Amino acid sequence: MYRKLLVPLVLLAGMSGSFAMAEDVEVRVLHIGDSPASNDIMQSVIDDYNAAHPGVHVVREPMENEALRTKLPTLLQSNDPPDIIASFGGGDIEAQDDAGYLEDISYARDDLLKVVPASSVKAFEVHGKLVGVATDLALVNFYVNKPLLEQGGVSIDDLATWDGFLGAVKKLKAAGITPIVTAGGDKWPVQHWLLYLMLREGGADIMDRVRSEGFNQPDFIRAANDLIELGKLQPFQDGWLNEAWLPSIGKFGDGAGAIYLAGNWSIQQQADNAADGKGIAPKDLVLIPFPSGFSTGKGDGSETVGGITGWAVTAGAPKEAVDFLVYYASVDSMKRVAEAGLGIPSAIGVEDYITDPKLQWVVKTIGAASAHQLFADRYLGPAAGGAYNDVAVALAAGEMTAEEAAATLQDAWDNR
Amino acid sequence: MAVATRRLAFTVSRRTHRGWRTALIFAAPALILFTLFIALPVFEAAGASFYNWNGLRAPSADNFIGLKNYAQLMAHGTFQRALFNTGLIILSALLIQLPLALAIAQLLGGKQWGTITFRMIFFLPFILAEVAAGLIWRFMFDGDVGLVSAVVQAFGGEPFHILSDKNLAIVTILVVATWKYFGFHMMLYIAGMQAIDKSLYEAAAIDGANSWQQFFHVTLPGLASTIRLSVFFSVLGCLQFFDLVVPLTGGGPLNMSHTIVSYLYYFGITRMRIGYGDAVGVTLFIVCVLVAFNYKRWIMKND
Repeated sequence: MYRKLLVPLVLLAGMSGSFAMAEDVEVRVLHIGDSPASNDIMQSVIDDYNAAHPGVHVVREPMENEALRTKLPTLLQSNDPPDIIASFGGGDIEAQDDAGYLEDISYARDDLLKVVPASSVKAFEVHGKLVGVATDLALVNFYVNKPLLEQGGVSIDDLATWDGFLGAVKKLKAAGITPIVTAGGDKWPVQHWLLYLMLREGGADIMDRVRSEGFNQPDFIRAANDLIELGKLQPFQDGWLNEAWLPSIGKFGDGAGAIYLAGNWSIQQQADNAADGKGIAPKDLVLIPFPSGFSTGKGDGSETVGGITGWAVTAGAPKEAVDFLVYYASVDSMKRVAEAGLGIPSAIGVEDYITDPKLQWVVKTIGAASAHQLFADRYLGPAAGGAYNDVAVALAAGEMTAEEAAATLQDAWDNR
Repeated sequence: MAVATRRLAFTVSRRTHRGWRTALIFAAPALILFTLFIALPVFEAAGASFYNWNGLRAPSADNFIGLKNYAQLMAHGTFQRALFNTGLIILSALLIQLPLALAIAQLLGGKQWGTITFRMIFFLPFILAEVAAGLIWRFMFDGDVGLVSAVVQAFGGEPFHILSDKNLAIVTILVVATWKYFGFHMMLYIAGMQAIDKSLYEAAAIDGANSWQQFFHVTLPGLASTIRLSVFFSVLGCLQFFDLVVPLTGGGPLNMSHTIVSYLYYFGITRMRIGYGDAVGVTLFIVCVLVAFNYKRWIMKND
């Protein structure tokens, strides 16, 4: 009787073991899911990957940008963190790696270098190891409403130098046109001003220098004073101090101001958030670099500010996660993003799929830059980055001196 | 005699002992819950406040900084401003919100036609989620499309960007807080008024007391314990004021409209300075406990 029962039980146990062995490997990708169009593209890449890789099941977990930032520390400490996380690199991955939450994927360096340029790999190197890869680039530069500018008696060429730009601001004000639109409520759009001024006054390595030598140095002080000088002209739209990003870019799309120092995501967002849903006509929206011609001559004028964003792999993630990342970063996947005009992937060979002339200009400008500096608030990490955004707004509002700004940032950096 | 006294003492002691055991058994579930969800987190936060901790790895001896977080906190201009703003919210609640609630409760306390409807209308803002209320009022105060600015412009003024005014943005928080919470206190007062013996009013009327005299000599004394309770809720609520600040001003412009808790959120949590945020939390906890205990001891001692 017992023997009769034993045989089927052993068989059953054996079967359950073989089921366990054949169990799918799940790869969870935590991403910023603010854009339905981008989500759809990501899902299509995942579907193709899953279909081509039986036994691997990649799933995406979308989260709103700010929520992702605040919930990530808790998620990383949980017993079941996502395998791949959206990341802006910089100070964020330094802190995460310090805490031991990131995987060393140096073994995949060669595979990644086949699909993305070396700069995209270097952006995710921390403490001598590779923890992820950059798949997207973003460029911050002047967005100009050309007809409005010309209405104020200013030409695009006037904006090539800082002095010319300050003169243009005065002319536009005199003509009753708001020279600049920005968002002092969300703060980060204002930090681009300070960062660009630092790069132009101090050169490409200024951010590394302030981190190692301190903020209280002549190049930073000059940049901060430049921003104070601009702020004194009161160039921003009424109510800018508590304006959020989306309403502000919508106002720019409505023609409320002539210039916005913004990233390439604004091309679509100025239209989406304009009252008529169309915004500034493509022929009237002109992209130009941030002014140059500063007296120190340290910056060559080609330095750019922007994003080098991508993905970090968390500790203990399966090798399949890295395999998916290589697949996702490749041109075969990224061409879908490029064709849809939803961003600037860093994949090798993706240029052929970027058809929008403005995005083509962005790619060319980043390619020609002597340095592409990551957003300061990301580069400095959350603590000092938050202080950087505060300081940028306070300088532009004339509420802080350059020396106070240096002291505040030094304090935040030392206590990060 | 001596033996009898000893026996009695022994019996009482055994009874007391048994009483304690029974009390402990009945209190155990509450004690366990209190320890797990209140005492432990408070002690953990208090411990973490002595570290420069980003929340990613358990605090270690390397990042122990003693009282430095507290020293920074006290020296930080934005925290001082947050303390000032929180004090302002408390003052506004005590001097505007609660008297307004009492006045409207007096008007709607009776059973005249329409009073129930108006009570519900005034109570509705309290039911509305804080985030929704904050967003609605953000539109109302918007300098370009908001109702407030439109009214100012209708009287010949310039577009009024109150949310961008570093000195006036806090006023919007005071206005919305009054609008949002006075209905709750009104309901408390109405309930309190209904418990006052009607014969007292009749006696006062027979003695020739007019409405004001009846209010000051019958209603107010009769409501005293309700008012003390309402002040207690109000002050503690104001000390922890947060939900409306985020959607309405975000603590801006220039970090001038933060409260203690919004300061904790923006400067502690979003900047991943969890140890620093804990120092803010512990400071707030101590203030709340001091207020609560002293209020209970000195002001609500007979309630």
